[in-house]
Amino acid sequence: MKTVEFFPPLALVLCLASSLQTVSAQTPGKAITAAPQVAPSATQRSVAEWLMRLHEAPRKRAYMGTLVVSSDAGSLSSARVWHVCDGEQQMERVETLTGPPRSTFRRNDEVITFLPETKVARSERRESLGPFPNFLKTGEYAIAEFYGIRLIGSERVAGFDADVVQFVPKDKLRFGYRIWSEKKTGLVVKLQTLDASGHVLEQAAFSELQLDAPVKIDQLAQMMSRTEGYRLEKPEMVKTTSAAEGWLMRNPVSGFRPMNCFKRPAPEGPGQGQQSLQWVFSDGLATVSLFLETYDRQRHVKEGAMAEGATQMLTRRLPDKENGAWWLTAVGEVPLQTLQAFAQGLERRR
Amino acid sequence: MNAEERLKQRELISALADGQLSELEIARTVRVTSVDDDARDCWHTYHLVGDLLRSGELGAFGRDRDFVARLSIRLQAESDTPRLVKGGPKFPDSMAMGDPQALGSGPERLVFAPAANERNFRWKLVAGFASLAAVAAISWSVGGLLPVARDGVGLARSGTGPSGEPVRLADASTGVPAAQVMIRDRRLDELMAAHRQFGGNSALQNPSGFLRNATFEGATR
Repeated sequence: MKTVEFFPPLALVLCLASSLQTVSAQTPGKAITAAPQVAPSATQRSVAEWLMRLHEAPRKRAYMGTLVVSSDAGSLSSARVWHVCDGEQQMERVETLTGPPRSTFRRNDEVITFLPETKVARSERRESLGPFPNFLKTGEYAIAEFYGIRLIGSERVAGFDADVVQFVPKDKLRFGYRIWSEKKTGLVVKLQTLDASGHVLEQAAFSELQLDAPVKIDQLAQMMSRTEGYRLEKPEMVKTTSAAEGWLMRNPVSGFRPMNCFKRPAPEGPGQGQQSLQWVFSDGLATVSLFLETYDRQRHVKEGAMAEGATQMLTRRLPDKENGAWWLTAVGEVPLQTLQAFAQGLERRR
Repeated sequence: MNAEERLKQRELISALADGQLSELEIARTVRVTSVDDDARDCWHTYHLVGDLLRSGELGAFGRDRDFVARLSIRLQAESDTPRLVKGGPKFPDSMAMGDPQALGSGPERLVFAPAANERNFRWKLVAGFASLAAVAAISWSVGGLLPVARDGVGLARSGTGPSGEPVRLADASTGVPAAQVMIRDRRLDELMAAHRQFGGNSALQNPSGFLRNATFEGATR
């Protein structure tokens, strides 16, 4: 037989062989030949591992880019972001591009906000941005109790390939989150907050991003300390406990643990209100703040609800036989029914 | 007054009836009309013409009464046989010929006869139902385009709040009573900002949560 006559059967055999190979590659359950799109390790990470990866990602590389935050109501805000990490020190600079100009600088948990229009600089210390998140240590089991994790696939955002991970809430008291995590560093390049029906309430995404950008930490530090010409404000947030303030969560909302309690100073200006209490709860991913102050008939006119992006807000009058009524403003990135559950679970001691 | 002047006067009066004159000219024309009988007659005639043009029912004036009577009889005959007659309602041929007698004298005289099925109540009902059905169909399709109303809470988009942010009703899931719309004010803005600043105990806070809050706040201030 001539060589030529070998080709058709040979070609057929080769075709069969290659098709068999692709079929076996696509068959699930075969650990050796993994699914083509996703790296094997990504599928096996747990909730805690993913959260740690997302948290640690900024330490690895400096970056700069433009972040765009959009809500389902149609509002859009964007800001220019610079980030650099030098060992233990993390520095960030955020310049808003929408609305009145505003520069926010962060060095670990120290935050200073410059408002050029009013020449005011506000300095504060934020516990939530501490070096190591406590809730990840102690509460990580709790997060997995209320959120499941699902790897959706991969997608390209701002020029980078990212794994798409979804935190699926296990009950109706919280929102879901879809996160695009850059494949190499784990950096969050896009984040969506979803409601129970999968509708996107809010999205924060980098429209452009440059990794390993030439961001100099001393330059940022210098800019951060330049407060000349600005009136420096340091809001006095006195830390307290709910018990000391006379409040109790009789029926706690499933998954939400009390985190902090602050006494807020009365806002400046006459008739603007008095001292209030901010009681912060968290389930690890979502946070709720309960603002409590004494009821003032003139200012606290109407109970209601409101939303801005993923943040929901609820006001409620809480009657109290002994002390006169209280006014509650509940704010959080949770469904409205959760805020209502908070309002119902609150109780006044003494 | 010669013919040319008379024509000019009539033109002025016509313009006055149409509201096309300037203040000075109005004053002059009115003065002329109040003095001159002929001008006054002209004024009345123009008004009548206008009325007749606008409404077919104001036809009973003097010599037209006969015509209207003939027309009514014809229409009555038409309504007794409700099927569509080829060629439509029949007007007297004299009208078609442009006979001034049939139409009545005077400049441009047109009478708009009422619809052939005007007297037939059945058709009025049909027309009513048809318009109702059209309205229902349109509102059904428009209702489908609007965002889905969730249980107990009406449709959103109450426009922009005082700080320029679009405000919408928070959605209430099943079984939760409806909440009223709140009006954004400075105090609520402050509390919202305070929540974002101090309530960020979230695993997602660093860096996404912090960046999101720092970006978002800019728009609300």
